[in-house]
Amino acid sequence: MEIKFENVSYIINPKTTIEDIRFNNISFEIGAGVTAICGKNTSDIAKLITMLRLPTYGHLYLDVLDITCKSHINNINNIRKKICLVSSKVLFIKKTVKQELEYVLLNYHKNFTSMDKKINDVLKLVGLDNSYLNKEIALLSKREQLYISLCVGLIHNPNVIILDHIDNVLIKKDKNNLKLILKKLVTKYQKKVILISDDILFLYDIASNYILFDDGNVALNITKKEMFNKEIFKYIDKPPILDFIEKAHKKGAKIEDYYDTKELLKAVYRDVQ
Amino acid sequence: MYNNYISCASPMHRLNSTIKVINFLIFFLALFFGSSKELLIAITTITILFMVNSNISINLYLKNLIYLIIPSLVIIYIMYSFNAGFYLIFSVILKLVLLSIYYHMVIFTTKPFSIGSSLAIILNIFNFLSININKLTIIFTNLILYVPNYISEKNKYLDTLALKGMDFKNLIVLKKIKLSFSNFFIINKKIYANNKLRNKEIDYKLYNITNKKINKRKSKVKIVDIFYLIIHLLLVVYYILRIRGAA
Repeated sequence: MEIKFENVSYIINPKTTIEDIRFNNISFEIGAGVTAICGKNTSDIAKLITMLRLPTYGHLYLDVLDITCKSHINNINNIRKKICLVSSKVLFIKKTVKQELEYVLLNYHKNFTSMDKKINDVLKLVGLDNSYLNKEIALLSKREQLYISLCVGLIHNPNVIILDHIDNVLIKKDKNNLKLILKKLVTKYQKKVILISDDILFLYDIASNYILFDDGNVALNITKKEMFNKEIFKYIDKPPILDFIEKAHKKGAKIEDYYDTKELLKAVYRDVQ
Repeated sequence: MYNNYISCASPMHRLNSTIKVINFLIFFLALFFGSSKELLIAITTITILFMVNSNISINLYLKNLIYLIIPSLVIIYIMYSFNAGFYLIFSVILKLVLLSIYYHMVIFTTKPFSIGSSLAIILNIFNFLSININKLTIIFTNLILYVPNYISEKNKYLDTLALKGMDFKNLIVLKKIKLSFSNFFIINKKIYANNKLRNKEIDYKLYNITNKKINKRKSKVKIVDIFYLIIHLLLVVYYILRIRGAA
C-alpha cells in the first residue's frame, strides 16, 4: 500500500488567532519494512494516515486515493481496513476481549466465517493465550491492554500497522517481544510498519527507514545505513552504545559499528583476547 | 481541541477569574428573567463586546453553535405548538445563542482550576451553614466544565469508533441517532471516571484557597475588573427598575 505525503500542511484552527501549525509543507514517502518516525506532534501523522483528520493543504496519497482538505470518501472503511493504528490512548468499546475482537471483525468484514480461528491466530501471533478471551478489558494492566489493542488492530488483517508511542507503557522485556512480533510481521507477512516514538534506543535497531521531524518540517529522511551519521545528533541524543564505540575508537580499539549491546560485548571480549 | 482553555493575551484573559464567574452568574440571571427588547439589546452588545475583547476567533464561538441546532428546533416546535408569538420564540433562541457564546468566552479565557477556585471563594459566603464547601465547589466545577469535557471525550470516542470500522460521519441518519444515544452513556461513564481523578486534585488545590494572604496575587481585583462588574450590575439595576416601573 502506497503512502505518500506531497506538500502536506496540517494546521489546527487555521486562519485564527490560535493557529497551530503542526506540519508545514512536508513531503515524504513511507517505504517497505519498518519506518520510524520521531519528533514533535508525530501522532498527527498517524491521524492523517488513518484519515481521522484531513490535511489542511497538499495531497496525501493512500493507494490510488488522493486525500485533500475537501475530500469526502464514501467507502472509507474499505481503505481504513488496510490500516491499523495501535496507541496507548485508544479506548475499548466492548467489555471483554472476545466481544471487542468480534465487534471490530464484523465491522470490517460483514459475513466473516471461522471467526474463532481468526481470533485464536491473532492472540497466538501477539503471544497471548485463549484465557484472555473472556477477561474484562478494564481489569487488565496497561501493558496487557496494549497487547489486546495490537490484537484488535491485527484482526482485520491490515497492510499497514501504525504504532503510536506505545513504548511508553512497555517494559524492556515487552519491547524486545514487540520487536520480534514486528520482525515477523514484516518478513513473514510483508506488512508495512510505522513506528512513532521519541525513544531513539527503542527505534534504532529495528527501523529500516528513519524520518525525523523538527519544527513541523522533515529534518531527516534516511535509511538504516545512514542512520547514525553525525547530522542526526543535532536533533536527538546520541545512544550510549554509539558514544561508547566512538570513545573506543579514540583510544585505538578496533571495533566496528554495532547497534546491539550483546554483539558489542562479544566484540569487546574478542578485542581483549 | 477548541473547547478548552485557550492560552493567549487578551483583556478577558487578564480579568480576575472570580469576577468573571460572578459576571457569568449575573449574565445568566439577567438572561433567564429579562425579556424586554432593551435588555436583550444590552446583553447582545455586551456579549459581542466581550467576544471581540477575548482575542479568540469568532469562528471558534460559532462552531459551538452547531450543538444548539437540535435543542433550538425542539424549542421552536414546542413553542409553535403552544401558539407562541414570533418575538417570544426569537428571544428564547437569541438567549440560548448568547448564553452559549458567553459560556464559551468564560471557558476559553479561564483555566479550569481558576473556575474551581473562584467558585470556592464565592461559595465561602455560605460557610456559616457548616456545609462542605470543597465538595460543593467540585460539583459546580464539574457542572460548568461538563460541556467541554463531553465534547472532547466524544471526539476521542468517535475517533476510536472510526478506527474500529464504525465511522460516525458516514453512517445513515437513523444509525447516527441510535449510536448517539448509546454513546451518551459510555461517554458520561468516561467523564465520571476522569472527574473522579481530577476531583482529588482540585480538593488538594482548594486547601486554604480563601486565605487572602496566600493568594494575594491571584485574588487581586483591578479597576478593569470593577468596571466589568459594574456593567453587569447595571443589567440587574435596569431589570429591578423595570419591574418596579411595571408595578
